[in-house]
Amino acid sequence: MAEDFPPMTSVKRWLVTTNHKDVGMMYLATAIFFLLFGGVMALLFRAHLWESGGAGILSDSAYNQAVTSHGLLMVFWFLSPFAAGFANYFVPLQIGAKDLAFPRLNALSYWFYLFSGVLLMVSFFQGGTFAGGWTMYAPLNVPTYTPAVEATTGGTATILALIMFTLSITLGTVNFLTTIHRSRAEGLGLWNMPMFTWSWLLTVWMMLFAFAALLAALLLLATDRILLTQYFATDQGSGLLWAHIFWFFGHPEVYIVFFPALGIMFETFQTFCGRRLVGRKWVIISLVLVTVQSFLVWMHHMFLTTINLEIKTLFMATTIGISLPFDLMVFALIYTMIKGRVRFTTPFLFSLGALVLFILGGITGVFLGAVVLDYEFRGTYWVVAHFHYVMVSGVTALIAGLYYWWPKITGKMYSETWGKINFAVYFIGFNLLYFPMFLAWETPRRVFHFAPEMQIYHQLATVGAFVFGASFLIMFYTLGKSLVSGPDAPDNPWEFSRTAEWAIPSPPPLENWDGRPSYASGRLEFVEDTPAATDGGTRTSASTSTSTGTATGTGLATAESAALAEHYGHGHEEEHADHASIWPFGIGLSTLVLFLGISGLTPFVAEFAQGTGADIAPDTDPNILYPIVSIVGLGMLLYVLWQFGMESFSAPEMAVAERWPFEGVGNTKLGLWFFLASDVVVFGAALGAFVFMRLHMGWGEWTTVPPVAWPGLLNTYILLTSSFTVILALVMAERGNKKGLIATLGSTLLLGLTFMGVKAWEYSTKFAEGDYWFSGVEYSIYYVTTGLHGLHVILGLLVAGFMIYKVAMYNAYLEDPDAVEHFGLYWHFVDIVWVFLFPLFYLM
Amino acid sequence: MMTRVDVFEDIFLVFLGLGTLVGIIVITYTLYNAYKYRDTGDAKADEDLPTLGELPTGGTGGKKLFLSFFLSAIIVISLVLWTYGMLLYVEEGPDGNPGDDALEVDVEGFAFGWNFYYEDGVESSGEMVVPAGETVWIETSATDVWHAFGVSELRVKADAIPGETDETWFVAEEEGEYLIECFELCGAGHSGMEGTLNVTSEAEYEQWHEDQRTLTLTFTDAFDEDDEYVGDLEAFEGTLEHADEDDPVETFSDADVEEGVFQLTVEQGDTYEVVIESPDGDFETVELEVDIVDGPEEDVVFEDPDDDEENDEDDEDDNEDETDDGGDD
Repeated sequence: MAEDFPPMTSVKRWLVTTNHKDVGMMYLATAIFFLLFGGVMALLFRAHLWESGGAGILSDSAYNQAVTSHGLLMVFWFLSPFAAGFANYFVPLQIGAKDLAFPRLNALSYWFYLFSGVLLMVSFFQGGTFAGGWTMYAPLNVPTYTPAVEATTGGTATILALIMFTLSITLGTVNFLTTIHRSRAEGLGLWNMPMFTWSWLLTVWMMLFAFAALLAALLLLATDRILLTQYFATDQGSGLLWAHIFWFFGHPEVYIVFFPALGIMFETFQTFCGRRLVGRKWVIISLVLVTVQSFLVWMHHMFLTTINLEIKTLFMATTIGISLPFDLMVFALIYTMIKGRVRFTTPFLFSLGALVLFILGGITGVFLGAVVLDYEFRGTYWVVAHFHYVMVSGVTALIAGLYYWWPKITGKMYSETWGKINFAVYFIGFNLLYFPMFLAWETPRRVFHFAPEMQIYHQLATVGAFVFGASFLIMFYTLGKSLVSGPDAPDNPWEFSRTAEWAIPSPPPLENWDGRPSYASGRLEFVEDTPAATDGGTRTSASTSTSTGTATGTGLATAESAALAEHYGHGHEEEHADHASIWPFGIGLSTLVLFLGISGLTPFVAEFAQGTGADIAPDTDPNILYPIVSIVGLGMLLYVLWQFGMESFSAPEMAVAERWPFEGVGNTKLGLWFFLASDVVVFGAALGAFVFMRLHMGWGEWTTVPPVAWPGLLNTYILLTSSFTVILALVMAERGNKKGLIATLGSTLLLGLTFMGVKAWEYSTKFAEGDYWFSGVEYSIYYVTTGLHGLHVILGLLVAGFMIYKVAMYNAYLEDPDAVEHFGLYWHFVDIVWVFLFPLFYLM
Repeated sequence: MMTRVDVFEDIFLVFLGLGTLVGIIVITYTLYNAYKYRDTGDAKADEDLPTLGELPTGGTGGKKLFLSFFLSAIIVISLVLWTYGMLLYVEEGPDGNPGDDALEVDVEGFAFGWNFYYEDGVESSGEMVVPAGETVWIETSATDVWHAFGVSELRVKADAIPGETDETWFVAEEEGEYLIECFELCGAGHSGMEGTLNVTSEAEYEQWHEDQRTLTLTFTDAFDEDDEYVGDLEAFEGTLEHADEDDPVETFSDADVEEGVFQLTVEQGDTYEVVIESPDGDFETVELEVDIVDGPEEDVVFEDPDDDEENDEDDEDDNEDETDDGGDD
């Protein structure tokens, strides 16, 4: 209940909050922690790189772990979550929403993120964390079958941590997509959204599809490492399969981490140049183009593999193509400065610095796009220097965002002098660290042996690394001092800022504003909706909010008194919103426990496999703690999921909002559609893996696993019938027919169980013949693909069971049948996937 | 004929020059404008300044934007189109895809070194020998995990993926030793996974090949305990046989042995069997299976016919394993 909502000074507040601003702050703080962790890894191996052959700081294996975890931490656990912190805090403010569409899921995204990082940290102590590079190439990532290297439990835990992280991202993307498309203030069309929100919108669109591909790759890798399947362990296409799926994710990922930074640059350039963005329409179009094109360039990471010349040429063309929109955006930023009133504040220094560094990095990327040059740059420090210039230029802009929005979040200002000192040390350290890498570019990646003439460059880079690290200490000092003793910040400390977050107090109140933001008049106003009028009522102009400092209401806004009319406690917006739930924390924690337990199950599976006669020896001794922890985790998870489902949590939809093009569909349904879209990509990747591996072996050479087709056909009829019953269930719910609803939902459940039963029978006959999932790559692919589908069926059955319970005990859905429709949607999706699976595995 | 080094240097220099030029121009222009339009506090009263709460609209100045955009697009696209021609050359190879006479070497990466296999059956571990001035076509693969073969100085690189074969070529114009490195993380020994490319004259190259296809037999019978040559070698008849052939590849006898050592060169490196028999039954027949791929050296020990127990003579071999059958087990 909101009345009991704990204050910010209490620990409980942070464990239960679902408010977007709280979640945003938690993301920012946690991301900084992982930045430090990843940075320390870098300092360790840069110190080791002081001499060729290594300066003795790290063992060979530790070096690989440090290099790998540095990449993973920075790319996954720092960059996107840091941006997500800003997005959580400011996107709702910028579009006029009081919170995200699904606040509890938002909190859950955060807890999945935090606990996934905890699992990664634990992995260091489980025999060593993953050591195969952040790109996790195959077959090195499945060492069980390779005698030369060791599989560690920590490596498996790393993969599971990444899976958990991907769950966090997927929930977050569904949340933001629904929010941005359904909760915009009146008068704020898509074109009118601020640039940061635009960049975040496109970021989450990319995330939706890219992370789905990554999830597929990670799931297949996890089954390889835990269940001993052979997707990535063979010399029959495994290496290339991983490369394709991973880079299909990996390339959009680099724009995913850069776009929010770019969005911040668009904001700060406009504010601190006092000019509106030049060519704004074209900038947005460029952003959209990059979003789409990002999925069409991935093979430029594979120019040196065995792909043919025609394909290489195509991807060379698309790669050059994607550099062009960036050219336009860079020029747009430069031209925005012209005829402006440039103020060199700390946020602007960082933004301008980011632009300069990005230009340098981008130019070196063109080198890599020329295939002939890439042939030589492959696997060298040229690549390392290039991507650090572009990605860390993104970090530079994110820091600009931190300095820009710090007063709004904390209500405190910082010392400009110290901010500028921070920037100076940062910029010098950055270039001292990364520029020598271009000069030492012939050094291979992930090595500490290099030619003597390179030593000076590596040493310069090491010195630069420590200078760069020191600049962060300055940043902590500056911001820490601000928190402790800085002057209070006004609502709007920045002259010429235009976006809505500057129209409310620093920091904003829990509910963000009184009334409802509206752009119907052409500018931001806070409207009090009276019961009599459909629009109108008292309007408060944004520019008259109590602002001190340099931001006075310039321009032509009509000044109105800041006094508000009485509240009418009724109707639409007044519906009470909840802000607290402990269950997201519970689900996150339970998942951590479950995944921690699963990470150590491989030796048991290996023993089982050995028992069936397979030639597989466990790498590590079985430790009974792991199965125990898995079971405990599963029990916890089922309990907290139950509680989460039973909890009553109100997240009311905005009564008045811009929703194009999704006017006709409710929030939950839209969110489910987005989720299903990403699930389509997961299955697409899994089925694509099957097609790829089968083509690689020769379509006709492949052993088809199911000996007969009729069980598959039977299951197809069963599932299709169950889709029919679930449609009937919706009809029953709409008619308020409790018994009919239970009967139809129950039939669906029974049909689903029958499906699983037929499946179980099929599997067991194969096992009886000695054909297990580890018996060969054909078997692995059959069991995992049908198993993934089966897992979706099981999850659906659990939900169906839960819903039947709720109908029986609480008469649920009879007044509001939406949930039945949503379940039906999911169930239809599961059926459609089967309709694709069946012919591929049973008929071909 | 352009070597890969020539191709790379040409293109790289142009890109570097153009890239530096563009970088300097754009960054200078950026910083210049940032300074020129710095806020000096003069506000023009009639200017349409951005205000808090306004709906965003694009600023003006789109024409200049498009001009710059098209210019940069033209530069970038032309650059890449130009390199496309070079790409075709590189893919095709300097003298067409390997002709029949072309030198071909199979490169195999493993954790953590390189093996090389030549067409005449010669195998080499860690060191690749090629003649200067000749196009070498390599087919690269790996036995365990993904590696990447590369010689920076000669601008050649190829991914080594298990189950895949990546084909590329290079030409080394100057003799000398070049460093082979691995360019894809492959495990704890990735750093320092090195090999040597030894570029020699044509004559040295041929000689090396001959040496690799030469088996050196040392007859311990002709030496005393201090390894001094004493002569007195027993008479024998020897044959070199190949698994696939009925007739012996070569025959030899004690008359061919010089100072206790006999060398035998084959045309095709492979696994052979050496059989050495005493015509009078003075010693047990010696049967040795040898891989004549990397200049192997074997000791031939003559055992007394009745001696079943003594079989602890180990052969001095270099770096391959073959079964020693220097007696009866």
